[in-house]
Amino acid sequence: MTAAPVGLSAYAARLPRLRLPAAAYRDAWGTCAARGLERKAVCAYDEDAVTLAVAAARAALTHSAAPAPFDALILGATSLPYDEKPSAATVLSALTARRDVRVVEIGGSPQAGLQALLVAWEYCAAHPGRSALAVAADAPAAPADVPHEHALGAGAAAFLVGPDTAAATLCHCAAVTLETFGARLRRRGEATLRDLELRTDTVAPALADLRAAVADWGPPDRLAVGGDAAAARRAGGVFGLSAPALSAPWARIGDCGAALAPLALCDALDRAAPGERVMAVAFGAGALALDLTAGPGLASGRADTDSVAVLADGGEEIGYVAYLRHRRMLSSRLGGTA
Amino acid sequence: MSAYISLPMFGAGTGQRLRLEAGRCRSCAALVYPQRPQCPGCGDDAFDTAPLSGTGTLYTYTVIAGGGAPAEFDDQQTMTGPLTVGVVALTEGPHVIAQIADADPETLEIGMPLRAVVRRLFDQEGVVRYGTKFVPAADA
Amino acid sequence: MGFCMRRVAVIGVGQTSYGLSPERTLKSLFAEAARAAFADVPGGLDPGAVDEAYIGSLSTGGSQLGNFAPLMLESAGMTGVSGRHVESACASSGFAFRDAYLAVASGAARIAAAGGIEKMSDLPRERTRSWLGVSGDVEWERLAGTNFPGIYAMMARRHMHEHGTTKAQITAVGVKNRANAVANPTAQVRKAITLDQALAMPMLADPFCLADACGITDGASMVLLCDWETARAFTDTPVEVVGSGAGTDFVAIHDRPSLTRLPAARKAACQAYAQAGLGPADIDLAEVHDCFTIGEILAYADLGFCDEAEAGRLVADGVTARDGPRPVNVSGGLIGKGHPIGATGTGQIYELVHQLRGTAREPSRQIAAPRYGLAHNVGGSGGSVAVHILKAAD
Repeated sequence: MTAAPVGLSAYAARLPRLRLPAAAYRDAWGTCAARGLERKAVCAYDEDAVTLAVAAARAALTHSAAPAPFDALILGATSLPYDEKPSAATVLSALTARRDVRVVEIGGSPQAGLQALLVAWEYCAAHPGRSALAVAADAPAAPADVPHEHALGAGAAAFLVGPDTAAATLCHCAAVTLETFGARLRRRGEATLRDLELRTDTVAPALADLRAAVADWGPPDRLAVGGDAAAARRAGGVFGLSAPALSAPWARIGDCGAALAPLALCDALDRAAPGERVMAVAFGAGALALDLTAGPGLASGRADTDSVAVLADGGEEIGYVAYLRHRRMLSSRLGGTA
Repeated sequence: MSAYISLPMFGAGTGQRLRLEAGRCRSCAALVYPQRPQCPGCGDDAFDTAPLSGTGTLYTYTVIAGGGAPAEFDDQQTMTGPLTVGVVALTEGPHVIAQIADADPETLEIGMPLRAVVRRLFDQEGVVRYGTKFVPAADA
Repeated sequence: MGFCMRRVAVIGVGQTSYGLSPERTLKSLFAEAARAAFADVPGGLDPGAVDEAYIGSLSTGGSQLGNFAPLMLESAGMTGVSGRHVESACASSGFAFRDAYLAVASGAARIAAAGGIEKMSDLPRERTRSWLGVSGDVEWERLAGTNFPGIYAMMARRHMHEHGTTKAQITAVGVKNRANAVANPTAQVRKAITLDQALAMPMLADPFCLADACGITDGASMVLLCDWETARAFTDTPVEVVGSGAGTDFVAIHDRPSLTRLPAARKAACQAYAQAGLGPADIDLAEVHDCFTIGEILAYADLGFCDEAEAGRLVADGVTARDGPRPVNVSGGLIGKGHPIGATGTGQIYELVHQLRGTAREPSRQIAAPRYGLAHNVGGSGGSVAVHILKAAD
């Protein structure tokens, strides 16, 4: 990394409007397999990872004079409509007529969102003076009759990365990689996630490796965790932080795939005072940690109505059958949830 | 069998459909949206691109009952019920037809403020067709 | 039209019954209408004598795209006649009639045939709805999510907003026309309903319910025109075409400055009135385009029968009732008689000609001694309109 700091000048979170309470699963199936889930944010029929990405990106760019003050767009997602045909180009086309913007699309695991932010950082560090827009957007899907479907939600977060560090400065990153088997896999051409429900703990080894990798960072003031309630507790334990300092919105918005860790990061930034150290962690075949320092301009230009907490508490609750209809799980003619 | 415009035509409309780009006539400064090859005011054919803000008000609307939607929207309607469509009076002057999303039809009023959002319209030829819908402007 | 035109008369009219005939073929339907038209000419007419033929259809049966007119002419004994397909959505045969009129009026043709045909009840639901939804701007109206009733519904809501027109006033048009259709032997819908029953019917596209809309109809119609002198050789009482007008407008309703009028209809009507030297007060009966109830209300003002703001009251006031001062859609209109899209225009001529001759099949629906009849045929939501004025023989 070069000496000139790179950080965030703006960030924005966006959730779809609909909410499904965990109680809906108890009514439908007798139990909600997502332990600790209160409710989740879910896409309406006409929403998907792409529309969420556009919404978050436009929100992050609201206060910019130019429509496209970035030279690269990095999109992290696991549930885009195509295996080939870059949705990042679609997102870009909704934001600007510029054709001279590099797009990078990252998928493969729930780390993809934080990886997009990391790539944006590295791009800006390699090209001093330039900016990049990192967008994480996801709406993972699974068949209706499997337990891991219960937690799946949707959301998006966008970060404008560059030399302006008003919102936060990017300080460190660390990644550990450990191939995992049986959890969260999806073969090419499949629209829905599989999970073999093995009892292997994939979180603890990743946290232990991560702990060692970030030893010389110093303790964070806040921890943003892209994981469920259990993962958040354990991450807090490993880094010595308890609930008030933990941003783990999973229980209120569900498993938003690649967008979960970035949304947790947005939540942490929503609460952070200037100067506080925020560490964001995402899991998936290992783990990725990003370390930021909250910037002086954090509160200005961001309406409370757009905070993750307020967005999560808002929305419109629907019932289980309406959820199945919106998520296209009853559509025989359109190939399901893709 | 659905109504059809070719993918090249569809792609050519991206700027208008997603970025709400109007054409500003170079001769008479008329704002034309959706764009057309000739200015309806003066007949000239040279325009500059003028992106609209995406804000507007509801000029008129209808709620299409079940079973009535065009074939491309049949599944959307089967799954989510009546389809709300309106003419939106954009702030800059032009009007456009679009679906009104995220709004209970009972709450619609001519004159209510709206803003543009990108949503998924339908699938055709293996390609997802995204477009602009309008939602009540009070929404976050 | 300022140049010298020959006088033109209608000497024969024919149509099939309007309704659902999924098992009939396109060819047999057109053959029936054509045969009826040639037989309607006093003393008969050899189909080979036709100089120019114009055949309107929107969907061409869902299959025949090329050489549609020659295919239909074969079924009418007109093989060899100069013929072409005319398309203006629901005004296809209205424009076919205008083209036939212009051919005879200009002297280019001595005898011309204008007709239309639509056959949709045999197509799968998806195909039918496709054809019904593509007469607007496909890219900006249809593919944004609106269907055809939705377009007219949005115009109706605007009329309610600007003029205080009520739902009951709008739906009353449908009640009137269904009542009129009961006595019409060729009509598709011959069951009257009350206004309360109509308002209770299922919603179609708010504010329209099913009672505000025409249905899907199969049918064919054809009329024969010739110059005045030739007509007098066939009959002492030819019906004359004294006015013809047509116009177009922006197809997408969001490109129109107002949704409570059809500029194309006003232009067509003004042109027809001017040619005939007549005004709205001279019209004794009119067949207008009520694909949706609001269409007839818009027509009242577009044809000059009243102001826009008053148009909603005309049905309740009895002005356009069958026994009123200006009966509109005595046939039952599109809602009652039916709307086989491409055939509707010349079907309106069929009705007017019989009324002007005094030969309505069911005496109870014969208007007493009408002198001038007007046909108003609209394509889509007003993208194209043809208006004709006919005169009874003296």
